[in-house]
Amino acid sequence: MERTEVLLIDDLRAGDMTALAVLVEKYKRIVYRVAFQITKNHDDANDVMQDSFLKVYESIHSFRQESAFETWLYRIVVNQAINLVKRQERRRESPLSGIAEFQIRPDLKQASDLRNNPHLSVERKELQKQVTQAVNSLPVKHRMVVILHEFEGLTHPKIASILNCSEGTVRSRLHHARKKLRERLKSYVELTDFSPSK
Amino acid sequence: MKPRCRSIQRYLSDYLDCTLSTEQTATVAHHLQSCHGCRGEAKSLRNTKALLQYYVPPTSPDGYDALFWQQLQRQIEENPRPTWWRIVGRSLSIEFGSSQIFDRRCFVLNSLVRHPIQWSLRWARLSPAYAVILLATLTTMLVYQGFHTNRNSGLNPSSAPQFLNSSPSYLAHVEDDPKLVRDKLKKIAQISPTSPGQFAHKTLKQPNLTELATEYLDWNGNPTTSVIDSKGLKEIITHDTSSDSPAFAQLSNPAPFLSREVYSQPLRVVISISYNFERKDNRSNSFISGVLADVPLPGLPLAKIL
Repeated sequence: MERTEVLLIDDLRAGDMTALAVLVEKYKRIVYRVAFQITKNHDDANDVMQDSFLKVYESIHSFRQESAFETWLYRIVVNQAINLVKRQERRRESPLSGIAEFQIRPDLKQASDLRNNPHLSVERKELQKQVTQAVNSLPVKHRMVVILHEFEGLTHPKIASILNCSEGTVRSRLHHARKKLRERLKSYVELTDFSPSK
Repeated sequence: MKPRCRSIQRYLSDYLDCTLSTEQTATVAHHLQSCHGCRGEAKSLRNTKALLQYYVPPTSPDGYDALFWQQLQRQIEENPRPTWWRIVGRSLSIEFGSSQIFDRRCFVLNSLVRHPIQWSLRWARLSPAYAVILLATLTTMLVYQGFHTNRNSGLNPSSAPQFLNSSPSYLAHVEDDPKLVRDKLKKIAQISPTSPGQFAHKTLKQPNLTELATEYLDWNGNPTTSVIDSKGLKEIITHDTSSDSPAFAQLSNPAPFLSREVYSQPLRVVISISYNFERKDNRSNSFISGVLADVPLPGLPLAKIL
């Protein structure tokens, strides 16, 4: 863990809001991204983000610095997001995920970039939409592994620590998630010599 | 599918992530060279992995960040760190299962209104259990309140930067009674785990840092002595009566720090407290007790520190 981060955590333990502000500034994008990817909408992501940082503020005394702060924060965010999704699932009594549920919100910056960028071809935009929908249609336990590994770039042991499961489980979920994605993106995957353009 | 292919395909995902051992990687690679089916499987998985770069990661809407911080601050003000009733609430939630409490809330209220006698009997039957819960609750409250009182004792529940904000009043203060000064140091020791006083308290366990403090003061031409009081608080005392001693200079003159707008690294600071006392031969002496401390100043604007 970085020395500065250790000091920030010490200050936060002492109740220094400036330390919290620095940590929020540093991690808010990651937290929002992960929260949104699990909950799939802005309002819920906002709730998860609020609850996560509030939890950090309240529980910083219990953080023993055995793992990195980032890992601890990921664990909090993932747990908060999963709890929210499960609560909603209980209320709705519907499956956790479905392709129809996901929509790219028009108020998202990236989405508006896509709309406004004349260089992006229609096909490319369609591909982005299909891939995003395919990922969001995965069951939450598979989606989390894909998000943490493919998009957040975390290693298998770290993901296992965040999700509180074995490394083998992470590997297995990732493998199954990829197979499901392959099924859902069949028409694109089957393109021979597919080479993604930047 | 051949049994061999089935076992190889289980490893394909790890093979693509390069997380297999050298031996396993070689085995899979060797198999892929000779098996058309598995090669196709590997290729399709690789393409799937490559397709993920087209995933559109979510970003927060414009203006959301500032709004979020305001919301969070408000939430923290409304929900300060766990108080006794929140701890009790949480324990009860754990005890009964939080979801069940919410789900059954209406049912319980309805049946309570409709069947008050049955409920009274039921409560009477369960009264020992409730008494135990009540006792546990009260104990938790007492323990937590005790803990909370300790945490808030002293001057302020402040962090090092906050201490530095208040420290000039100490530096400017001249006491005639060394005991009062020592009492102040002890008070400082209580306010924060990162405060210099606490550091001074710990110097007994960290002799290297004590030596460092002594060396620092010696280096600036001030002969030093150490005093350990009855409670183990160690003070580094320098017999320098001038107001421009290094300790004063460090905190009262911001010039060395002005070149950096924001601190991102810990700063080594000497906190000192000066005091005068009268000798029996009517001559007066001034003393400065200095404590060297690594004060964390993470990312704070200069204005907040000086």
